[in-house]
Amino acid sequence: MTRRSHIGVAGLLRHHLSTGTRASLLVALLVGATVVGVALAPRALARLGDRELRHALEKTSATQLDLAGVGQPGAKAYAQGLEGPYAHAALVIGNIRQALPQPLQSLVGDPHWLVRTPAQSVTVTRGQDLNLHVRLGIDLSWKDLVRPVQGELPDTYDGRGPIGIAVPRALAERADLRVGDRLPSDPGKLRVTAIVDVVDPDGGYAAHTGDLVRPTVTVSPGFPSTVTGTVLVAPDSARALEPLLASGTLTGWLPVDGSRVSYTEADALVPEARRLASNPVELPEGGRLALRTGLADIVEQTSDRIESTYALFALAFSGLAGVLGAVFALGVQTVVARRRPALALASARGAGEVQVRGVMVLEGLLITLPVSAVAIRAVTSLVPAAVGPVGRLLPWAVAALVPVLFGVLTTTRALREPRQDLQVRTRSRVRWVLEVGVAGLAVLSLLALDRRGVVESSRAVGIDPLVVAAPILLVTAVCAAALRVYPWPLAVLQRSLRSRRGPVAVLGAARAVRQPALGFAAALALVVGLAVVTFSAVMASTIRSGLEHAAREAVGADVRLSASAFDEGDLDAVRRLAGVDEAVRLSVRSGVELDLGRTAHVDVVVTDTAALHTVRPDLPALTGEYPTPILLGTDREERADSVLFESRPAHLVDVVARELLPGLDHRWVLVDESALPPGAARGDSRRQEVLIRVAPGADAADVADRAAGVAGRSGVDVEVVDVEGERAAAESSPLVGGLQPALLVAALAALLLTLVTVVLASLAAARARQQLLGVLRILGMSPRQLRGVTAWELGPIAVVAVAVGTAVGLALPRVVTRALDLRPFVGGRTSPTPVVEPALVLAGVGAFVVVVVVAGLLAVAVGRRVAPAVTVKMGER
Amino acid sequence: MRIFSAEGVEVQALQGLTLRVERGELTAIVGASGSGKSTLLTILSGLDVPSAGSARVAGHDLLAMGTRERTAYRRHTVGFVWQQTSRNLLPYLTGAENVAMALAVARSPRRQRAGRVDELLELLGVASVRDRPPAQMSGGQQQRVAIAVALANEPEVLFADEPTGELDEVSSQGVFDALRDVNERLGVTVLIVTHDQRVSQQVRRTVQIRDGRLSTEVLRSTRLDEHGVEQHHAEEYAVLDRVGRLQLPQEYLTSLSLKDLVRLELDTDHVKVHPTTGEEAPS
Repeated sequence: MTRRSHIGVAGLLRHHLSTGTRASLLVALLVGATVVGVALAPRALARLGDRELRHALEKTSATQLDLAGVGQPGAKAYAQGLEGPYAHAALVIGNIRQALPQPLQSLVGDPHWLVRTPAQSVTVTRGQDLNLHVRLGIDLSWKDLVRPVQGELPDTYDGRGPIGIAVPRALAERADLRVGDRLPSDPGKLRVTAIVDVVDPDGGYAAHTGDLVRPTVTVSPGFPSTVTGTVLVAPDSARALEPLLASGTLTGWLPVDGSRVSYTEADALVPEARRLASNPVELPEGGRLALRTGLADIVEQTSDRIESTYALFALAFSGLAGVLGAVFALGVQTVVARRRPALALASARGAGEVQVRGVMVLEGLLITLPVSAVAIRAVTSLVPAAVGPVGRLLPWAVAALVPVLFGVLTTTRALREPRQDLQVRTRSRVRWVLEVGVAGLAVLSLLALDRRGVVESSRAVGIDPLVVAAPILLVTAVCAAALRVYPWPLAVLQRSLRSRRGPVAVLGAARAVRQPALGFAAALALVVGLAVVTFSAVMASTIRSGLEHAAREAVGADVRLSASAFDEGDLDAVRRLAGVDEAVRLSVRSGVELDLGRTAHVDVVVTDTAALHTVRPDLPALTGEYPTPILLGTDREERADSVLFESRPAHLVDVVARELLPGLDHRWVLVDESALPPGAARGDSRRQEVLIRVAPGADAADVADRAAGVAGRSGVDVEVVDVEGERAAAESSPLVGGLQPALLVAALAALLLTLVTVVLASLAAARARQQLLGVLRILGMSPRQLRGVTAWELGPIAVVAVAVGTAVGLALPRVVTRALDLRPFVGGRTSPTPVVEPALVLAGVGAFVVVVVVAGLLAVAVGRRVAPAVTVKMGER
Repeated sequence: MRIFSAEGVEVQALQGLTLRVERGELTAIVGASGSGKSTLLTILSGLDVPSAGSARVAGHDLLAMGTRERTAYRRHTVGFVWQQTSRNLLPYLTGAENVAMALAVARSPRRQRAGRVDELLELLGVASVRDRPPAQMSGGQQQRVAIAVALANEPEVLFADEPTGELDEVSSQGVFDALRDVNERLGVTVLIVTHDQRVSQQVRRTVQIRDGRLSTEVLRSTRLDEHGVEQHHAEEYAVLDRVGRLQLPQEYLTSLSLKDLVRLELDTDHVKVHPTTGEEAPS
């Protein structure tokens, strides 16, 4: 059968490129999958960043987050030409939002504000045992924000008669006020016309107006309580109350909607939010409102966490990049091998380097461009997210890598059939130069990391190229060294096997030394693959341990109870609970004198230090009576020869970090209650805490619930935290929740790429293997012996990969934690050090071995189908 | 000289081979497997570089050629045909396309290409398989198309490495005739590496290589005797090395039972070599 011949270059190329496309399709699939992953990763990270930032902002209270401030309302409530009270101020405040720059403006809602008089003393009429102070408040939109539960909202006060007030329900209940009460006060008699509820008691209005919802109660022993709250008057009463309001305060705020924030805008948001505080809003008639927000701090802290996580992701996935590079190289080599006869012929007929490489680059472009374009298009339309230029260009860069590899790995010199009998092992000078270069770079990067030390804030450097490059350079250098060294012990093994064992081991070892089936790229992929798996396992256990450690530091024990007071009965009841190993009470008092060469006031923690030592073995039991043994918790380096505690000599047992005891913001001194000098530490008891050590096997959360119930039975508010709860709260963060699956994905991807590597490399060796097996079969080897010979192809390199990959995978987390501060991520006082869970690492190594064996079997099975008749043609070269 | 080295062991594939081929000659190189004849051909065709010595083809110094000159040399100076048809022709291109590929590689003008393809296929007598892929040609046709491909860019020298090695007698003769035809009609110098006695006996000059050295050389000529009858003459030459060693052809050794010790006799213009019997041997 004839066909029309094409003698033009285009037609010839079309013929050439459309032949033998199976390997090309495999490479195209590989590129497609990689491009999808690379295009998806920055989008997933951007979304993760958004979610983390929103999660952090949602956790933040409105008072911390909103743009809010307290200022002066101005001398006059009414302006010429404008109707209603504070109309001019309302206009100015109403324009604040429009004046804000983007992206801050888009996050901010409409402003709200409230003018209040100074607190006025009010005489209660029914003999209640309290001092009542009220502030008269004017809110122009009060009718939308409060709802009368009794009576009617008051009418405008025009200077005559009593001032009608609407009293919030909490204040009314605390001060026993009722509708109709007439209360003498400084500005005039007040009349309660309504008891009101704030429409949204949990919303921003309630948060910012403070005592409008919840009155402030000050209790002084021996004196009546002082209750201070805000009551509302009709807005038009401002005219009659103008002088009083002029000396009052204006509370204003613009709510911030954290759910609309985007991580890509974080950098712009921080300076905008900071600038706001330094530019107060000038109001008419000398009024002024300075808005502040904690938004910048929260965004900055969260961004640190996000950057830390990005750096970790980059680290985990940089190893994969190495494996991918090796797999790409293998795939490209397979295609080049298929084209070898044609290219060799063309080269022999006079095709130059440019022509030969050009054809292969063209093939590379045809393989990668369409599939990459489709993959990128699909990802961008299915996963919309704002990604930077790097995120947009990276998939194209990966797609461009394959044509470049085609160009690099095709040389006319490599096209001729090598003289197998003479070229036992490659002596490529280029490979030596590359390996020495990589080793040099690895050493330099490690030295640079060591000199730089731990990066305090990952935000300062972003995804640090050094942190990402150092591990992959180290892995490649170690792998190259291992592959250079491993033939030596193998040669020794071969010599020792020669005299003692059957033919399989001798032949297998000789072949592994002289004609290894797997080349450098495949071996590198195996080593790096296992290193990634081990690294992921160690980092997962390190992060888990770091979170646990941070949670324990935050709680101070397994469970912590806080309340204004616990009596001995409460403590005993807690101690008797099932699951409680030990419980100790800490009393914190402030304003105690400590002299370390200079007198200062510190907090003092009084406790039974022997019991505390049981709960917290890291804190010493302070025994002895004179001089008083004390422990100092401080942020600074402090030492003193003579120490005076409450003007008496004391023995400073040790100086520890302030955060060792949670919830103490200043320097503190720990002292045993039995050694406390008489009359010492009489400052006000700020609060008491009970630290609980949970018995082994008991559930901390369950113990915490029961302990809170027992301690709170007298009606005091008890705050309870436990390690499990703290850790669960930390893990609720999208970042923390996302990291463990990401490490798992990295490990699985590494295993998958290992599988692809072994299959590709073994397939490439299929023809040579089948020829060898054909000869051996004729020589009389049994099927079992033949399987043994095949196993020797993978065995030695797999053993090297397991040894080197595991060692490197275990070492890498040490490099990482030396270079990268994980505290923004896990929290806690100290950055976590690597924690190796042998079971997890063994599981990773086991999975790797299984994958290699399965891939080997798969490749051998496929290879048998690829070259079934090769035995009879074994003489043909 | 060509030295291959691996793992510290050096193998000298060619050494002490001196051969001069005149322009327009048709020469056969014979030798046993491993004698170095294929190495010689890969060097001459510009695919390998000798480690030492000198090699010149049509004015090109094969040791001193740069990449660009080597590429031009392969395109325009030499053409070659290998034993395996799979190494000569791309299996997925037709005969015409294979020839066109060689023209395209050498960047010959497109409008001349079709004419040149047909001219070559006609010349080699394979125009009938112009549009067939190699799998649909006979072995002889494949080799003749391969010769057409080798001649595509009008080379001065054509190398053929065992071109008839995989062919039957009839096809072998056809391919050899084609090579001789090319030599005679186009004036292309042809160098054939073969172990086929029938081929070597049909060329004027046969060179034997042994252990990488030139061993013997046979020059054939045709003369008319006193009766006007054509007589074929074959003169055999052997190489005398620098220290005076001489290798005699195997058939000489066999026919005269020359072995171990021979007796030499110096005459005025030649040396005679006589077999020795046990009695003649010096004690």
